[in-house]
Amino acid sequence: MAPTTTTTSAVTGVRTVTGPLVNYFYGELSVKVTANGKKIKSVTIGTLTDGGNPRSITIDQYAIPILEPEALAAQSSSIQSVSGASYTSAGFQMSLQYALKSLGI
Amino acid sequence: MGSAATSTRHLIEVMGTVVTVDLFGDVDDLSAAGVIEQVEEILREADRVFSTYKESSPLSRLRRGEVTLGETPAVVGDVLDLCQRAKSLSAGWFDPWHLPGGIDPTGYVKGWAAQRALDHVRILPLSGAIVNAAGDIASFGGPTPDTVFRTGIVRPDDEGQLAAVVELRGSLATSGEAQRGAHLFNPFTRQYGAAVASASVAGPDLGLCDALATALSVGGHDVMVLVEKLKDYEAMTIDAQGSIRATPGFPFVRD
Repeated sequence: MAPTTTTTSAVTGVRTVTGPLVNYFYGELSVKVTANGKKIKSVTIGTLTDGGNPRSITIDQYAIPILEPEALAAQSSSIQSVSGASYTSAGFQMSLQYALKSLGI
Repeated sequence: MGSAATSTRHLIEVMGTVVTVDLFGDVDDLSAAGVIEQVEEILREADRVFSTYKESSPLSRLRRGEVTLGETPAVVGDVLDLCQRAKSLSAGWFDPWHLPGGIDPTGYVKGWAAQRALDHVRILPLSGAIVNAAGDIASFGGPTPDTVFRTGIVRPDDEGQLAAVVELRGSLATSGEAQRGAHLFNPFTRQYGAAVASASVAGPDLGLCDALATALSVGGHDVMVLVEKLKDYEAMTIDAQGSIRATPGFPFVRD
């Protein structure tokens, strides 16, 4: 395998962008993406409203551990990943794509 | 994360989501970066060929009848063969040929692509690796050479809580209404709707896990019985009341 170098890019530095509020299963959410240059460092929930649905109050409290399963892991036994989390939701993806576009990724 | 394990996380934005690749073990950054770049290309290629959102993708053109299967890249035929196998193993509950809008192997492709990505990562000297494509997970090995990975399956009514923790021996896919709204289509009733709130399938191959999890969501108990007969595959469902059912070999962690 040939050694590869890091992709060069005009975009540099650590930047954080929050996507627009979009509807999701229980209310509205926005996705917050932090990138270093063009490399994604973290993807979390920026804002979340539950539309009065009590189910999502706990989601709000722990800020959905999207792509951060360690946050969930800390609450339970030692786990390395999470299956079935809400980051497959259409709303999440819409806000995510907007945020990534803003970051030029 | 496991206390003794050394791991690095790589995030790849592809297929309308973010795929995470976690590498466990002492690997030099340069080797890892090279492999991650190739993994990214594997995932992007799958997206280019199979995206139903990109109008110019070979699959979109096949769906519109603009090209025949023979005119698409060979990989399309390969995946459709795998889908045919998944359809027969699930007694027709997974059926990409009878979906609204034409043939749609999307329910197989995400898992299939993540499994290919994982298989490529094996060339690195790792104790283990995890590729997580929006909750569909392919893995090998463990956080250290003598431990196994554990995965949490979230509660469908409250994704901040775990319904179960399982030992990850290979792959795990979870399907359910809560994640993507009413997207599950019943090929027999020709209606949207799921039999259970959450359906997980564990086994060696994530493409088949993904397809069987979709089938299990829609078919419920009928599909659970089929998965139980499949060697090396196990299933778990959570119903609207929160009751968990599983095949006898489902790898729950009970501690």
